[in-house]
Amino acid sequence: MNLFKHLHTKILTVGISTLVLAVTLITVANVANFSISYRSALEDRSITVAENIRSVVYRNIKYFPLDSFTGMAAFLRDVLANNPGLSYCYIADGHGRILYASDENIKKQRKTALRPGSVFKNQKTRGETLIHDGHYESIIPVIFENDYLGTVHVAIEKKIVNQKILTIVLQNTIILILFLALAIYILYRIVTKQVTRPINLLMDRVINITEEPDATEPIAVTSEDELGKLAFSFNQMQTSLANYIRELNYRNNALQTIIMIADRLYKTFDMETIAKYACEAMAAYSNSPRTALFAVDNERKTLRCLYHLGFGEETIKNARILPLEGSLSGITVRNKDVTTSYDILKDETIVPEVKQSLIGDGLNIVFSIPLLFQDDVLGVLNIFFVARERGPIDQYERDIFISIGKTIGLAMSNSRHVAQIEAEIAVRKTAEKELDYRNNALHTINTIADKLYRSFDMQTIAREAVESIAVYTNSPRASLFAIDEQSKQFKLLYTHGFSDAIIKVGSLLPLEGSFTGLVLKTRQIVTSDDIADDQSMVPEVKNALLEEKLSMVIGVPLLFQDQMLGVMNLFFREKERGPIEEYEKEIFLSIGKTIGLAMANAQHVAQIEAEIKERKKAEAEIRKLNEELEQRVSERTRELEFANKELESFSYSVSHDLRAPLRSIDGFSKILLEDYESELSGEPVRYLHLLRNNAQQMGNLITDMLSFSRMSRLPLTRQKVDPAEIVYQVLKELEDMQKNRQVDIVIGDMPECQADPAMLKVVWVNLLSNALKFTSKKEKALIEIGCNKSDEDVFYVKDNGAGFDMKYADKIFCVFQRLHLADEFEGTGCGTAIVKRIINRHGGRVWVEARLNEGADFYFTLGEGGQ
Amino acid sequence: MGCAPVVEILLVEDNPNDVELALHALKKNKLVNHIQVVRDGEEALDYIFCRGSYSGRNINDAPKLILLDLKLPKVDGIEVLRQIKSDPATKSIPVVVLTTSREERDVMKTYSLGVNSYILKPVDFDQFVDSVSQIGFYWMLLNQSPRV
Repeated sequence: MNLFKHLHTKILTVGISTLVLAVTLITVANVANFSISYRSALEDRSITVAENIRSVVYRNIKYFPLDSFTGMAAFLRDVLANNPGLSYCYIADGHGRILYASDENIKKQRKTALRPGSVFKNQKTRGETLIHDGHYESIIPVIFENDYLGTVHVAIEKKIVNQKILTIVLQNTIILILFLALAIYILYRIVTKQVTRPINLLMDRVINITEEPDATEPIAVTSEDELGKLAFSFNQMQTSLANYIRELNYRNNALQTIIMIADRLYKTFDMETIAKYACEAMAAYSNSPRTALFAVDNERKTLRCLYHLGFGEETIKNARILPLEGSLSGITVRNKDVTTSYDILKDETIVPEVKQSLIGDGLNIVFSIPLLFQDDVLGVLNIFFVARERGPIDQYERDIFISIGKTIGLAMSNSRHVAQIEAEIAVRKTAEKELDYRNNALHTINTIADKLYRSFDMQTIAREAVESIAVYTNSPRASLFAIDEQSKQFKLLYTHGFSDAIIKVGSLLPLEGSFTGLVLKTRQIVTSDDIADDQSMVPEVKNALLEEKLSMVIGVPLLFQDQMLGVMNLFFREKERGPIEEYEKEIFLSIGKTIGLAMANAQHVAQIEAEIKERKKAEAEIRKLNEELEQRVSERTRELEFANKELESFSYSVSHDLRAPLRSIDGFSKILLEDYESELSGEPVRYLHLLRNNAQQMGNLITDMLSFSRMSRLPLTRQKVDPAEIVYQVLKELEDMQKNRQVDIVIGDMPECQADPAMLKVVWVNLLSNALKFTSKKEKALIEIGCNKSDEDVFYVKDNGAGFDMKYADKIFCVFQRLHLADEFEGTGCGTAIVKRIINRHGGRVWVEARLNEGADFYFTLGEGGQ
Repeated sequence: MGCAPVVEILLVEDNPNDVELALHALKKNKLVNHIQVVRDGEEALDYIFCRGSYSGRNINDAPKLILLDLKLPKVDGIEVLRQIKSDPATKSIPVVVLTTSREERDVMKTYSLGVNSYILKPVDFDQFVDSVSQIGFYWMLLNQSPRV
């Protein structure tokens, strides 16, 4: 579609299309119109010819009938010849029969004439034209004296007519095309001149502007139409653009300067260099012959000149320090904005020498620019101008100066910051160095401590300490003194670098009056730079030291808690060693404490060892005594065992040997009574009965005594026992005692207990048999058996029997102690004693609460293991 | 003594009073026939095993019951019991131990050695007679000891 690239092409295309369309329409209309009128003209002509023929007919008809005209055919031929363009003509009668024809062929070919569509009323009726066989055939009637006689036909060939029309149309068309071409040309001319050219002009100017943005030549405004307005607007735009570009250029320039300044400034952190660069750059940028940069000192409330350009040293001498109050630069600092003075002569704030110098060079304009960082004014840059060279400052320039000021301010701030950081780094480096030293020292102390704490031998500790410290401190000679408690003097424990010839290990030194003594007294690190002055030193030692130029000594107190245990002296060449630092003193003190601790440990261990020795001795004695004691105990035990065995065999003998005679006494008495009853009577029988009773009583005594003894000797084995079961069993065994009397026995709940079942049964047997025995005189005996459960289980047997007076209560549990007469209540007096023995062996208690003639309550417990 | 009648009961007792009382009690219970009394352990063993002064005795004529006191001169009752019960020829002879004590030691030992019964010699003679009569009655009349 390149065709429509240009505006005029578009306009022309529209115009030409319109023209062509119009011409075509007109042409078509014309051709149609022409063909109609031409045909009509032809028709008129043929009809006119026909009328001429008819008039000939009329003239003859008066004389001849129509069908008998002579020479008529020839006439028709003549007519045809005289009217070129006619094809044929003929005359027909009223029946359509062709009478005469210009051509005989027609007569032959056409049987009848073409009949008219309408009925002809009279001769004046205009004929009509019909198309027949490629011909226009005009027909007119022949009416004579109101008789319709026939018709005259004249024909023109249709083809000839059409050719004629086509020719004329072609001619017209050619003329139209020519006209059209002319019209187009004229249109083109007009469009080009009125539209395209001004637009092209504008276009060219726009292209120019892109190449030369600040061109200001306006376009001629040639018309008042839209194009004219466009040109006018364009001119305005061009003017604005040029202004903007100018400002942009200005700013660009300023920015470039700022970047350049920044680039230079930010490469350095040195304040003076920054000031120098700033002055130079500003002078170059603003074409100022003189500049001066001041830094603000907020503490002193002054401004200090860091750099200047163009001022002589003499001139600036008095202006190096300016007050913040009352100076032009001070105002700049306060306002944080550019201060300008256009007449220095009138300015009272400028130092006179400076003013003189400036006026001398015609420099009566000054701009004072604040050097800002964030919201702080770090300094001021003053630039001076000659009045005629420098116009007034505008807002742009002011902004740019502020920007440059900020750039310089940032550089100054950075510089200050870096200076601070450097200072901090310096401090930190010192600290690190100290830390390194301390770490190193700590490590050494640890190493020393590790070595020292492995030993508890004082001599070893002294050696390890001195050797380690000497290596650590690079001390060529060192010595360690301990305080000797016995002699109250220093005792040399170890030396490093000294030969025995000079000083011997073990030699003594007074506690006072020497350098070492001073250390002991102060308990601090003591140093001496010149031992030559020390009068207290052993001369051999001093000489030996001075020979090697070891004139410096550091005395380290060896402390444990608050106790001085000794002193270590380290000797140095002063040149090699340099003065001792405060932190070094701390480290030496720590080392001293470490050694002190080791020494204290050694002392302590020595003490402990001594104590252990004593203790061992004591233990040996104790052991010996123990052994003796054991021996004695085993002897005694053996004796006891022997005695026990004796006792046992004694009991055994008693049980056998004492009983045998009793049995014999009883037996023979019985035999006497039974077998010799007839020979005896009266007293002898009674005596025999008494004999038997006594023998049996003695038998019982022996049995109880043996039982009592057995209860003491038999081993006690506790196991779970149900007391109720035992009670029932015992009561069953004691059934005889309940015969023939009323006995109420109440048995309460009794918990299971841990006891020796055989022994426990003996307890119950004794208590229950006692209860039954002592209630035997009562009409109605009541015996209560049970257990009180409190902290411990307390079993009881209560009866309402004879009881006893409580003042004899302490006797009741003794062997063979009876509180009643034998003939009242029989018994051996062993039962309760046996009970007490058994209960005691169980770890329990037994006691009684009795009321004379009312009853007795026996209570017992089974001790800790009983429940 | 060589052709003495078959001994029904061997009484081993050193105390003559006790022997007499025992015999009295046995007699009272009509068990006195064929009682052989020996006075110490050695003699008892000689009798039972047909040794020494009893060597002429036929060992097959074993007593039907031995009443054995524990406390004996020379060889004590426990040893006698042990030897009787450890010899297959004699161990089936029922042995009733007579004792004056309830000493646990003795009782336990006699049971462990296989004593057949145990009589406490009480001071009360009546009880003794009762006991002897019961024991004798039981072992002599009811308990058929195996014949060799």
